[in-house]
Amino acid sequence: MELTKYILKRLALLIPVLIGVTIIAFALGVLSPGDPVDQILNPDGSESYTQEEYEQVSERLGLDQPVVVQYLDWLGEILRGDFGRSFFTQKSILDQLRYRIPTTMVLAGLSMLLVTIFGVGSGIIMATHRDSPLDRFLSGLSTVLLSVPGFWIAILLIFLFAEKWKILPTSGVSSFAGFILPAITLALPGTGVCARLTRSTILDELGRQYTVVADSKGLDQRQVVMRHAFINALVPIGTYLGTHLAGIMGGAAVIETIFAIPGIGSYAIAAVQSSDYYVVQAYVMLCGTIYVIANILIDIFYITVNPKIRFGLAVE
Amino acid sequence: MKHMRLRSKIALGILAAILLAGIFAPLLAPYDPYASDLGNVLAQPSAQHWLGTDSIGRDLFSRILYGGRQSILLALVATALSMGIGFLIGLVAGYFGGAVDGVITTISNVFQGLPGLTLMIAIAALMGPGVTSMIVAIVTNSWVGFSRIVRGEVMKIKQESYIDGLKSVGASKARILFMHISPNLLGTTCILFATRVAAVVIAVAALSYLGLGLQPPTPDWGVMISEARAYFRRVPMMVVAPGLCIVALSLSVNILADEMRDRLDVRKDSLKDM
Repeated sequence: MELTKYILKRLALLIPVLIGVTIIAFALGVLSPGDPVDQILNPDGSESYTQEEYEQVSERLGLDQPVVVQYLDWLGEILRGDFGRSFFTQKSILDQLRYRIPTTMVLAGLSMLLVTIFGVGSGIIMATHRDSPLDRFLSGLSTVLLSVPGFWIAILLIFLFAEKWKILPTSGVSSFAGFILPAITLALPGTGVCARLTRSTILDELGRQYTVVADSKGLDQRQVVMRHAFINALVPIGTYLGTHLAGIMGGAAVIETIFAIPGIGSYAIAAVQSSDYYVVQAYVMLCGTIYVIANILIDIFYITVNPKIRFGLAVE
Repeated sequence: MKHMRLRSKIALGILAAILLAGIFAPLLAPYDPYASDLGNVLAQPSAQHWLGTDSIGRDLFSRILYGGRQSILLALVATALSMGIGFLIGLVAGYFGGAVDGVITTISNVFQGLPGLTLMIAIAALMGPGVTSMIVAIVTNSWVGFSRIVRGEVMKIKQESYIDGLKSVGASKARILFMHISPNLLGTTCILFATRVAAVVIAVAALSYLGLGLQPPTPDWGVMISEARAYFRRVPMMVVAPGLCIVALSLSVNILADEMRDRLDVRKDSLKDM
């Protein structure tokens, strides 16, 4: 069947990407400053050890093997779900990820929801009220949104809502209210980008022949926009939202740190600051995998909205 | 030639003011941005100190004037490098197609799949904080955006009949690529360059805020926000002023990028003529 063939072809293209991500994640660990053997034998920097002890530990960790063998060993462990242990806390990284992923997912999901509602919503309003004062105001606002540094807005929001007016908690996610400020902060730039994208793609579609035809058939403007232009504009918007979801996992790191949210992003930043490279490797792996999964989802979405692909006409 | 929109004129004015303030900071600043005055810390704005002073009595206004110098220069250099690398890679991938394009596209996908800011943070931590590590981090992160756009445009342009004409008169590949295809890409890459610079200024500030970018006591907007965290409640200006400068800079660059985009958008223009 054409459709299965198409999906399999797309999946095959993503495998090299996944391999590339694992190589870079592995390289981050190999290139990291500091000697893991030394860190194990001499954690506080004051103990001495013999060359023999050093070689024993090195052999146990497989560090005496060539880099390629080390990479394959490491990959094998990752595939079995073993991300190793943090150098410092000695806690299993997999357990930490398991505990932290849901928190980041809630945060990312909420912020996606905000981006979709406000971004797509104001984009449609701008397109239907083209060149009106409302359009000018909203497009100005969306440009402002994508020009504001998230970490700065986070500080201001904490100050106003949590410290001055005491409406929302300053940090942590002990209750749902704790997610509100970070989700808003995280959604701001994406909302700006999404609104601009929605506006321009709908206006693009409105200039095409089929909408001109719909217009001349006497359909009212709202129907032309929603039934025809918007459906076609969904493809670029969907692509943006998909990559945004993948990107938000990386972008959430700073925001999670500022709001003291125990997600995977703040875990990664803490790991970077303490040179805990197994954790950084796991994080890069995870984000790369999420990116690949998001891409698969985008492809499936394409197929459902694009009749050309659905009917097997445009399999490149 | 269309008239510039009012908002673009204002943006141009603000951008010029920020750049001039940075260039002439040594002449304009009333105080030495590094000089502390422990007898006058966390002062409110006054005639002597227009924006007040920070936690060790340095003049905020002077530090604000100096505050864009390093991060803007850094963003320009790093983005220009990304553009150069991305441009060449995109040109090669788009023009030669086939296996070359396949390999390059796969590599681009890998870089696109990496977690942006966190990768920058990892690189900054790997190489130790500093200017070189930030440039490496930014280039690692930014070249893909340029190569994608250039690749797409080149694939369109190489179908044009004048390229066939050039081939038939025996023009070399290098000549076609650099003399005849590249000039067509100038507009698009300039727009992308501007929007990337705006994003990179924000990323540099975020890195400096986390202590992984520019280091104290450098008078830099990101560093200033980072240093001000503990005193924010008493002197909000310490966080607000440098933040507003970052917003003003990236906003004016984004508005000007929009202006360029509108001028270059052929389809939109032809629509208006209809």
